Amino acid sequence: MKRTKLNILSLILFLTIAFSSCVTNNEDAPPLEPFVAFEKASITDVKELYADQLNEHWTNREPVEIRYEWSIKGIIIADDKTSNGNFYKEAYVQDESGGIRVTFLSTGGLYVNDSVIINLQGLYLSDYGDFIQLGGDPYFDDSNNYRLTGIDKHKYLKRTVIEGQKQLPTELTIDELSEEHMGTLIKLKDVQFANFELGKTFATPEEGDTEARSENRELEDCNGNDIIVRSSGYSTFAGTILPEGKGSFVGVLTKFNSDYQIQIRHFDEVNLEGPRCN
Amino acid sequence: MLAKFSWLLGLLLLVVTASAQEAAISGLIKDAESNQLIEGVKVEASDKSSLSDSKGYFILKLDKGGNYEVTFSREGYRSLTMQAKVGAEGTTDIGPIFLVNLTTDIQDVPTITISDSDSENTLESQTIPGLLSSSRDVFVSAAAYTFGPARYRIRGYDSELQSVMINGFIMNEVESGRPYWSNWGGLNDVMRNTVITTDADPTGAMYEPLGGLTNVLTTASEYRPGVKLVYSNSNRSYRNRAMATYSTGLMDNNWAFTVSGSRRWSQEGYKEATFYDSNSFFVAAEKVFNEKHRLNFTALTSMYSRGVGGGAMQEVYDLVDDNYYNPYWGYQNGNKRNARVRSGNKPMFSLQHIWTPTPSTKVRSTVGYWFGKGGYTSLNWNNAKDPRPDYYRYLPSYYTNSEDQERIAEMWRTDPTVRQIDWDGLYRANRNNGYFEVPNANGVEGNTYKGIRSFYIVEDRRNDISQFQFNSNFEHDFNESNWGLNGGLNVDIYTGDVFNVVDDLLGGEYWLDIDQFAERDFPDNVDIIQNDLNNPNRIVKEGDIYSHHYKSHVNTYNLWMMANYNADKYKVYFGGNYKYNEFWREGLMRKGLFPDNSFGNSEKQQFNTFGLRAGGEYRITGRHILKANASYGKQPPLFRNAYVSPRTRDNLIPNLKEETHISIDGGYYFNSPTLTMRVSGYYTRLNDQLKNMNFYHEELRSFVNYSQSNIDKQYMGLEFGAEYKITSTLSANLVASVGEYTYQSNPDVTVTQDNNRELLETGKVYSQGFKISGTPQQAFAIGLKYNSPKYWWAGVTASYFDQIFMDFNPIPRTSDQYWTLPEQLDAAYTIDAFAGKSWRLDDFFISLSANLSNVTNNQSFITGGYEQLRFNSERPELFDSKYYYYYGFNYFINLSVSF
Repeated sequence: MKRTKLNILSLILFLTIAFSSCVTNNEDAPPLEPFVAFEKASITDVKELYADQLNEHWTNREPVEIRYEWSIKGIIIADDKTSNGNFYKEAYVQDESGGIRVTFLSTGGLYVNDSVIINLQGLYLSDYGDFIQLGGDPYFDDSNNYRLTGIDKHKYLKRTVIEGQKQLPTELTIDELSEEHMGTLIKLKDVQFANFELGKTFATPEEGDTEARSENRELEDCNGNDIIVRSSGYSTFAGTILPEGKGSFVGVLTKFNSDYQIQIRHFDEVNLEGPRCN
Repeated sequence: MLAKFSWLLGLLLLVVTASAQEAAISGLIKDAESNQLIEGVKVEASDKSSLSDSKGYFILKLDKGGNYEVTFSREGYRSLTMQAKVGAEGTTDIGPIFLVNLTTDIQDVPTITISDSDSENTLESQTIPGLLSSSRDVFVSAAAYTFGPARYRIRGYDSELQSVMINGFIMNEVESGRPYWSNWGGLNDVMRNTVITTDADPTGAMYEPLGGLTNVLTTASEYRPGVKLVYSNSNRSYRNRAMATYSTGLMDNNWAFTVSGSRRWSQEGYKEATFYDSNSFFVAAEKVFNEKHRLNFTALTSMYSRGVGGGAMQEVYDLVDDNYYNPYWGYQNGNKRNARVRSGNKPMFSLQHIWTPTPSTKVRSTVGYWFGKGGYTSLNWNNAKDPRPDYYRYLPSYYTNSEDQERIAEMWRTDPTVRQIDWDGLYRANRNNGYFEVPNANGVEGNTYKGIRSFYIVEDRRNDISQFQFNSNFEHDFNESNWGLNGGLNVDIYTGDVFNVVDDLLGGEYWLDIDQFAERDFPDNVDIIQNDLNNPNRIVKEGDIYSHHYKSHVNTYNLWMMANYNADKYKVYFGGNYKYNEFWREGLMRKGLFPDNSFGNSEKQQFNTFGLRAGGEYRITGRHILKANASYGKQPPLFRNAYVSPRTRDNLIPNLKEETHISIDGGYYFNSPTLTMRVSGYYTRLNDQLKNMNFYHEELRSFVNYSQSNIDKQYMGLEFGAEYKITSTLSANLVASVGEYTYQSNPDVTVTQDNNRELLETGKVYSQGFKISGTPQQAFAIGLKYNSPKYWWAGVTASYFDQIFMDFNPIPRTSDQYWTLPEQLDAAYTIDAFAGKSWRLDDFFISLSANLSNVTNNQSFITGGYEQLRFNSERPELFDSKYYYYYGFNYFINLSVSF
């Protein structure tokens, strides 16, 4: 009897000691870390920091690090999720003063009409064909040119959805377009694709052995002014034949060197159905 | 009258001679741990020998008195040599003699379980089970103990060629065909009564595969009655282990019970954040009705949860100056959290009936049920940057300029959110920026769901099982002739359940169950992006199933029969089996991309296969034995190799057919008091195997499937094992395994994507002659063991491994342009040591032992690895191979108390 008691007691004691030891994978949620925004600066003031570089020849330019504890606050006018594939790892932010292109490490997570605050300290400004953009750490590509890595979105950016908020495009004519509209949402009325472009597709899509390629297409008004429509070969409308009518065109104003460009952010905002200029 | 007188004279003579001046020694021989008397122990002194009887008593007559060296030996026990002073006349009692049972005293080495499998590659965990180290075969026990940590596989065979049986229930997981020792980890103390084969020698318990059977007998009455408590300390997979076992032995009412519980735990393992948390339970109950009927019930389970360590590229190991870097963990609120946690709980219940209608007939029948859950966690994400620290774009090698490379390297060295997973950043992303509105949520028109949609989550990838098995075998000896008959029936009804569950939303409120890769390619098509058209736009919360859900049904009926003939000098056997196997996939979600062949029961695949085998043994003398076996057969394909992408659809691999095997092996066994030796050779050919690999392809931005068929493999080699007694206390052993394991065909390969129905590529993989990966094809070990008569022991072993090859990516080998041989890894040597002592204190038997592995702390031995399936021809360094290193110095210390 004593023996059985000893047996059972020792088993219980032993196993109790063993099973009271705790192991954890530390999965408890960490405390909330609300986003702290820096002092607001206007987008034009931020672009101004790069002004000196633009005076240099493009081979001599270097990206400019933003050291101030500044932030920009604006609204998303184009994102890479709802743009039918026309944009990739980037978005356009617009405030009262102007607009700017922002490059990111990944696609998605931001949507047209979202309010955003971007803390700028530690980010960089550079340009592509004289078009200023905001990005992360600079690096050298294969041809030893400066490029910017994308921004780690959720480290620098806070996004808020405001019910019913909608940024309307600024209605302008082609000759009214100027630097102050760069990177903003514009609407051109009474425009059509130039005659020599008709029959072409928006861009060159990937097909068999052909690689996808972005293309420029000339858009003109009835007064002889023109602007380039640049579209990505990865967009879902790349293989669509250019509409032949005249009408309204909404997009983001960008440029490449001296050429002004408009880039589609929603394909259904291209309404070229009416009769052409005489 | 004369007869009576001569009888009396004879008796007188006997008495006279008996009482003449003759010396002898005698005594009782007992088991040191259980105190039971041991029969059949050989007692030797000068040139004489004798055996202990059924009462454990021995007597050995000697010519004269004096000092003698007496040796006690018996299979299964550690031999003991002692000095005895024998009186010149009469019998000197030198007992009681205690012998230590080897099976209780095994270097209790649960070999390092390496389950570091990346989701994209099917490099599976294959470990030599620690139990094999208890085999009495000198080659097998060395292979298990010494070669195990180097990922050695006996004969190079994959583990689906080995079966494991517990109480008559075959414990190989049906879909992969492999036994996973994690399903019963921690139950070593109740799994010591095993019959082990590692070749084609039949055991009579089932129709074994080529790699043999580990048959664990759990009859409750066979366990040593009493209690055994064990505590172990280690720095391998876990730090602490506690085991407790209690057995009643066979009691007067003919019942016997055994219970065992074990816990293995540590907050950190050998690699960082590899925590270990496992509780296992075992119970066996036996009722002996009479000599003809006994019934044994066994139930066991191992519940485990452990953090896993992953392999990495050499660039990463060099960057952090640590060959044991683990990419799967990061800091969360200052504490370590592992993203890859393997867990499981699969209880097995079995009832075995042993029927012995006559002394020459035995029928064993087992009915059992095995069910439960198993899976591993992983990060999943949408619309956000890759959270894995060693993603190729976050490494210095992504950049071509050396200044950039140095800048990234410096970030790796100084910033833990770069070097490991940034958990705090994942929570921040979800909480700050995750708000999202889903239109027509849960398939309800106009229902907009608003909340925080997590960018990052932890998902649990599950494969649960439910298996009913019936297994019956019989043995009959025809006593008049020398013939015997052996056969059986095995029935398996299996259902697997495969799905993902949201484990942790990381601060968010929901996940949307759509295919984000299909969404990118078909952004305007609401139907094609659904994972389940029957539940579109499903809002998924923690604990919900999502992504995919299907059941795998596999039913097998295997009938086998063997005849054997036993003569004095030889025995032969021959026989075969017939197997009917059927399987099908049952989809529980209708995938948007494959609406017509993903939901419901697929076509049943049926296979009828058979096998033949023969072999025998020739005993030249009692010491010299020759054995040979030959086997031919066909096997149905495994479920997991048959479907191209079972998560999305029921398409089968092209060229689905049975595999064929041919194998011969033979060996010479020598056994003398001083030398035990075995030399064996084997040749095995496996034809028409299939292999399926799924992974995410960066360029195509889709999940991709490589399906290979017509794979032929060849395994051949020699095995040598010898143990030599130099003196009665010192012995040496030598083990060598020299093999050549190669691919013998150029398999056909089909490449398909998961985000559309396109067939991407078909071709041939020019891999004929490539060496099979994952095991050293040459392994050698030499060791010394010392057994002191004072009940302590020590030993040292030196091992050498060579011919280790990497697991290769088949695609570069489909054309001339990028064809290369798989990488061969460097040879290496390691040194291991062990020591121990045991004591007997009244009723208590105490044993303390230590195993020291890799005493020289060799940290540059790469034991294996794999080429990544992603491949960039211009910049191959971006997707360099991933390697696994042999652990540096590690130990395992065991303290046990039995009473």
